[in-house]
Amino acid sequence: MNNRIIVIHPSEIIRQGLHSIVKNLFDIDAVLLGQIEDLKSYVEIRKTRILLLVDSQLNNDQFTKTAEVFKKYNSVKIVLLRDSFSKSNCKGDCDCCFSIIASKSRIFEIIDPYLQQDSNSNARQDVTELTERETDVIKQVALGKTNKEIAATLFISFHTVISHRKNITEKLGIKSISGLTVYAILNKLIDTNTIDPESLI
Amino acid sequence: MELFDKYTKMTDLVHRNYLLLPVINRFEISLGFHDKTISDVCHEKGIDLHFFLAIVNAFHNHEYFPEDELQSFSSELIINYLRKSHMEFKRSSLPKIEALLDKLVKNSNSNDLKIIQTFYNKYKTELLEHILDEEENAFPYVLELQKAYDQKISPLPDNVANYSIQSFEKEHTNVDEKLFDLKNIIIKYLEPNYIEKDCNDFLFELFQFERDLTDHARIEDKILVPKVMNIEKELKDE
Repeated sequence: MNNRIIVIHPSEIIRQGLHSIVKNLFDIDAVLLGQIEDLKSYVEIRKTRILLLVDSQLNNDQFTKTAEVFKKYNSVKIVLLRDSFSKSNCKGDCDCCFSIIASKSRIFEIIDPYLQQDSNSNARQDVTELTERETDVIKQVALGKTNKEIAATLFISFHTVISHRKNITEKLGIKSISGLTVYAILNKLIDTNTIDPESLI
Repeated sequence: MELFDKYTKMTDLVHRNYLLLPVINRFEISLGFHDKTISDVCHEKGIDLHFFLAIVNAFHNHEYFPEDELQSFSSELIINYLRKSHMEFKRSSLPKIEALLDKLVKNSNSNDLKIIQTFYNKYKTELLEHILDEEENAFPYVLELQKAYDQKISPLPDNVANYSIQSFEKEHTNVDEKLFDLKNIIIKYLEPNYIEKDCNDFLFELFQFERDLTDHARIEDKILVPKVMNIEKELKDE
């Protein structure tokens, strides 16, 4: 998963300061925003671990709502930035906020564990060939049969056909019917001597 | 993530991301910038500076997409840009891809590659149908609708009142899926009995075209369509 850090703070000095610290510590180019509204321009971010460093005074309903949008597709962690005068609501050394006068090593302590998460558990996806039944289904798909027809031919339920097709697409990384047909032809799952392949694709 | 602004030199823009070259051309901007900034060039050419910046920044950063700002531009401006990219796809991108595929097939003697070519042709036909449908139906409808809205024409003319953008703009997913499948089948499943250089050239071009198309579709699906739906809602709910 990618890491991305977004700083939201009205102070240019603090934004630039954090940018430089984060760049130095983690070699990440943080996105710097002056106000919460600007966060909306980044809703396209997907499958990313996002660390939001937010001025604690901006931590309001509007912010929570905007942050929710990101949580749909990303893993989001929010760290609040307190100015040096405001009291912390947290007891002792919590990992959800730090003061703007925090030392570089303190900032590292808070941010680092979050960015390192799951970097060891790079579970590789199992590569699997199609099962016999899935092969039967893809042959029928290649011949241009509808799901209903496939169900009738193979004596399985309509829902089972759907489920097989979903698995086939996931395993092969091919979504379109024409694409699946090409796969079937290349792998000689259908006899192209009797059927003109061009008519199928 | 870097964002270009009006002070960015045009030369730097291209150095940072040469894939922006065709995007720039769509605004009828040519090279030979000297030290001109984006602002200078837009001013010279009568291009809407904010629109230009929004388009190049959204292209340059996949994650950056200022929807609200982009929707504030006029339909005409957006459609003009989309038409330019259609033209470029038809006149430049697709012919180039085809020439490379032809070369790949001719130099290889592989039957499987002929199947791939058939698949490509099917994809191309669908893409061109989709483009034609937008040019002849969807875009004129949007422009008429915008006109009726701007000039407060009431009652709405039939060619506006009887349609909605959703009846024209089908999702791009079907066409996009085929392009991805095409790439993936070659990378994952095609027996490599062809000249590698030929295949790389073809794939490079496909990747770049896909990127252009994704950007294009994003402007249609996330900018034009929602914008038009808002206008429709305002006009037709009255």
